[in-house]
Amino acid sequence: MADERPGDITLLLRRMDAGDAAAQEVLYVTIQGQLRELANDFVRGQPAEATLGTTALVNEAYLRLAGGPEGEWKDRRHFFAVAAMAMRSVLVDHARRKRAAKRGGDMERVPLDGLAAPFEERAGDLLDLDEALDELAALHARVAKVVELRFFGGLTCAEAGKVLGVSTATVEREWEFARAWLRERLG
Amino acid sequence: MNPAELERCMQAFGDALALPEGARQGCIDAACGGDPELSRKVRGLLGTHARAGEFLEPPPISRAVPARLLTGAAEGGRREGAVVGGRYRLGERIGSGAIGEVHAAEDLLTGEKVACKVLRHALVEHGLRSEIAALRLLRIPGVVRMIDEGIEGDTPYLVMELVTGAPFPGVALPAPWRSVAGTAVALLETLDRIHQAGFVHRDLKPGNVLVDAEGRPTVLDLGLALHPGRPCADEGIVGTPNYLAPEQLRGERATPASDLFAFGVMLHEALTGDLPRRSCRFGEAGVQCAPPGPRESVADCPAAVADLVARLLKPDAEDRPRTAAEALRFLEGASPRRSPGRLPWLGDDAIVRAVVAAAERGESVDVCGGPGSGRTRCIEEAAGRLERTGRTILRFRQGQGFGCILDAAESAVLGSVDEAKAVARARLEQLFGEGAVAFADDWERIEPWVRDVLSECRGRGTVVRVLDGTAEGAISPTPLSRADLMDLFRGPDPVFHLREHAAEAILAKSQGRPAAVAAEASAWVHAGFARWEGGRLAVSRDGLDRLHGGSIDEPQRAGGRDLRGLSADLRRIAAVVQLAGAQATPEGLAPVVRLPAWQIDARLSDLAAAGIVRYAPPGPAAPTAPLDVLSALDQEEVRDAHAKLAATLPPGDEERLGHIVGARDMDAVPAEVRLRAQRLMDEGRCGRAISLLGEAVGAVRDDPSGAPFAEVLEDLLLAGLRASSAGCFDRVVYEVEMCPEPAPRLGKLADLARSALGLLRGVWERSLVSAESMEPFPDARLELARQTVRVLAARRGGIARERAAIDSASAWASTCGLPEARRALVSWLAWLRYNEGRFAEAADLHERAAGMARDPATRASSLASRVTALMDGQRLDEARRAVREALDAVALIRDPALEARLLCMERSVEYRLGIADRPDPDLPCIIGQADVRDLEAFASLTEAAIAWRAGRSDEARSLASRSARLYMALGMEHFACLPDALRLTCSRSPEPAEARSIARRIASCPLPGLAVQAAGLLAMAVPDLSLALPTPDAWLQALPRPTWAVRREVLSVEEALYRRVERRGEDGSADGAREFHGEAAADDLRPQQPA
Repeated sequence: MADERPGDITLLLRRMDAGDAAAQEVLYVTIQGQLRELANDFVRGQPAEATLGTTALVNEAYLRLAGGPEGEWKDRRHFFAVAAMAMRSVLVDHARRKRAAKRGGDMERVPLDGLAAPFEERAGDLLDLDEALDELAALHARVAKVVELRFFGGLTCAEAGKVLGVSTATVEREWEFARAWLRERLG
Repeated sequence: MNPAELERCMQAFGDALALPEGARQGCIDAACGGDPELSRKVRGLLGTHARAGEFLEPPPISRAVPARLLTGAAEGGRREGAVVGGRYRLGERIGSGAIGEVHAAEDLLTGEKVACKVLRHALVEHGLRSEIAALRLLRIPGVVRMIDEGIEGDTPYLVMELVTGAPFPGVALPAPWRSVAGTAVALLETLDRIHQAGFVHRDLKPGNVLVDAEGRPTVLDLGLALHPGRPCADEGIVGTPNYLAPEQLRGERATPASDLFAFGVMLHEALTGDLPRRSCRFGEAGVQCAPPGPRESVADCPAAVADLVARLLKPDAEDRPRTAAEALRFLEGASPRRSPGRLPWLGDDAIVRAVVAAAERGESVDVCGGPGSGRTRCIEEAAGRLERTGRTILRFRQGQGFGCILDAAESAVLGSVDEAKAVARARLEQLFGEGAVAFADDWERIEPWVRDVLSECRGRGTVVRVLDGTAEGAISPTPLSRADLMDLFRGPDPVFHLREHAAEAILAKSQGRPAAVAAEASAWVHAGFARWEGGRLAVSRDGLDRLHGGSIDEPQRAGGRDLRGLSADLRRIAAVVQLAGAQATPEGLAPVVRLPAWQIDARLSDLAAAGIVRYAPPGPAAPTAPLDVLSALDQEEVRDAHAKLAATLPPGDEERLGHIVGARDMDAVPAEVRLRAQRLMDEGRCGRAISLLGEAVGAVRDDPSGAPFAEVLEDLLLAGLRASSAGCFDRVVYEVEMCPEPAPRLGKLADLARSALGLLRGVWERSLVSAESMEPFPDARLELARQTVRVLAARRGGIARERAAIDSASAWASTCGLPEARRALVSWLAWLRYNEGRFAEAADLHERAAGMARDPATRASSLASRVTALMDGQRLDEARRAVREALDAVALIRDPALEARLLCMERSVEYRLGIADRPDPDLPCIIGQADVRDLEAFASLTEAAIAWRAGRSDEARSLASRSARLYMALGMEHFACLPDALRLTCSRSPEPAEARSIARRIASCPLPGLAVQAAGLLAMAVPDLSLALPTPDAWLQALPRPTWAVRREVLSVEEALYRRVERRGEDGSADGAREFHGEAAADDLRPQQPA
């Protein structure tokens, strides 16, 4: 049966806290893998609950990776920041492959359609959104981060505020602005 | 926009948004400082915001909701996006027919692309559904694979493999024969297999045969073909009129000959571009068809092909070729070879030598054997050998008259048969005088006048005849044995016994008859299970498993020798012999044909004398060539025979399942599958057991509230636990969730499956909690499963938890009355002792558990665990004996993974005992094919160490490097520091930077044994470098003093401490102990004084 290392995630998170960039990279890749797997599970309808929010998905990923009951909020906070990035990356990747496939590129297995669909319903083409977000990030990094945390990570404004170290009110303001800006930008 | 602008914009936007609409204008102006551009932007954004609705709101994730399907062609487009069976999402429509419409679909469970056919009418008839169920169990190469079927709402659907390609023949029309030859021949072969399985397609047409880029055809829509025994009156005319045979148009039942008619039409169309001309009138009196009109001659079409097409299109089914195989024979010579050359000569060549010897003595000889027995090949070999010695070979064949001894000019002037015979006789004698040898293949079919001449000349020279029946003094080719067949294959043998298994598989399907072997080999290549490599077949392990998994070998029904020439009772018995396989003895057949055994014995002897069967009591009778069962029995009788044969076999017998399916007794399938699966697991063939059970689930799924459904799922879960297969647990959970209202029994089962899944995925704590909190199962086997999951989960949580779980389980295990439970308890205790470091006790307990095992697979597994314990306890001599014992046990089962592990351990033990002196660089690759985690890495490390000790530093370095890379790729960095250190030791000029990097990793390595060795190696590699290795006290304390002298994976502790290693010099000299730098060990590695 498979091997797991319960201590590693917490270790990685602490290192990340201490500024270890490599740890963030490792964590990022690990979470991506875990999210994909979880997405598979949800598509198959494994959990008992009928609907699950993005938060629950990311929570679940954390539990699996950390291998135990929830750790300190401080650790989880970083986790969620990275998880949101990972989620975005997974979905954008998926959209890119689908687009390539339509043009006659190599058809890979894409069991993430089920997961991606609700995102696409609310934001349209994820590749366009991704580009637009990058543009926004060039103009104001934190605003783009807010979008990432809320849309891809499913955090509330309060939780996002804790991650970014600003007040809830600031997050709310930036969030509403970002929505309008992106909406305009995406046409 | 620049960042500063955006910031201001955002400020203004935010301020304004906080105010009610009316008050915003003023605020905007103020915030924008009078900049109209900015003002405009902000207003624009506010407007956009107001209209944004749900844009970018974080989405929930919901399960796809199955949509109600609508029937009717017009609705096809509306179905896209619907999810069927909770699993298949329909895509665009790709075809439609009389029966229903086909959509491309996606299997959300596996991610595969499939085809889903949505049917118009419910297939209500139970018999038909059981046909489909039977079809799913029989996999026919060249026919589209059926994956699933079910009902959504009130609409039935079928799920098949998605096939892409162009309709037959796959090239533009009209096409020259050579462009379509390969495809046409392949299609005929597939048709032959379909008919042999007892099916008739009924709807063969170009649209139903898709041809891929390489010309391989795949037949579709077979699942809707009716069994010939079923009346189809109520359906009216089914099929596309253009391809229907006249009897089908009249509403009569379709037969294999009807399929052949359709094939004829298809071939005609392919070669000419037109349908054959015929006029059909659908009138009051039924349908009248005029025969196809004369065709224009087609360029590039061999006469044989045109002839065949004409025959296939005959309006009267009796006039057409009876079987696809017969049709193929017409094409012989006209079609290109499909397999690359002939099969290599297999088996011993005594027969060939006998023929050659007879020729050398100038004597005539006969070779007997039914068609397909290899007799032709045999004489071809003999002819080849004789030709090479300079003799002339005369080949007489049906249809060629005296062509090989008289040329056309000579023939033309002959006036009468007698004249021809006289001239031929003289010529033949003359040629015999020159040493020529005459070969006459298929004697009975050669023209009588030719035979006369040959018979007369037999005494004057060598005439080698090939006969169907028997003759005095004749030699016959014997069927190929398994050993002979092994030569057909390539493959690595030590771990996989691929050639053995493949030979067995092909033997089972062909009974060793060379023609059947060739056909089977060709089918395997066609189906993608095997490839030709250098004249031999390379089969992959995966291919063999797929060939076996889930498919049931049904004995042949159609095609083969016609039995109508025999008397009625002989005919029947011959057919039953074909079906009965190993039961074809008088006792075995008595209940089937209902005659006393002695009468059956007599008839079998008659059949043997006529050359139909081989019969040597007390063994079973076996056909000398496949028999056309359907020429003696109708389908009812065939099924009845299978039913009776099934009844006489004990449940779980290897042959029984095939007979149950042959009898179409689908209700009996689940119980039989369960028994068979149990047997397979006892033999260690878990993969095959799981496949069978998986297929059985499909068969019982109709009645989820019934007992068989639950029972099969339970067995599947238990199999999954044994094989550590996540797929099984997934399947159990999925099937239960698909039930509308699962019974509590099923719900509980699903919970256990989820718990086991969690364990496999690494979420052990939740697994443990859920397993503990479940109510005990009344069924002891399932309760044992629950306890097992619990103990395995607890093991992840450390020794205290493991102990607690075992304590808790032991009360139940010792009193529950299930022997496996007591054995499991002993096994758990063994692992607990192992984790506690009490290796000797662990080894003893594993041995006890092995003794308590009731099947070879479990025993082998326990013996292997014992070896691990002995090795870690550094008891190498015992380990060596134990690994031998374990390997013997593994030889009785088929578990490549376990065998690979044991080979790996054996090699390491040999190394540690110092008896391995030559590295075997291929061994890690072979072991790696078993695909078990870190085995290849470990094996590479062992070989590296062996090479190093033998003084072969370069080899050692490359092997060590490979080992390190493999460990790193698996994420096992701590294990990698040992091979990395060894690699450095073998380098000519080790880099200090690298040494430091490795030292850092060693410092954080949690495994003392590895760390000590790695540190020692590193110190030997770069002796002058101060590496700041941490003090090893903690390490050394963890390693018991008495074991310091024993060699570990690479070094012994003492060697590491004192840096003194016994190895050969680079020149191969055995120098005994060599010190690496001649000095005493550095202080930081010396053990502290108090022990």
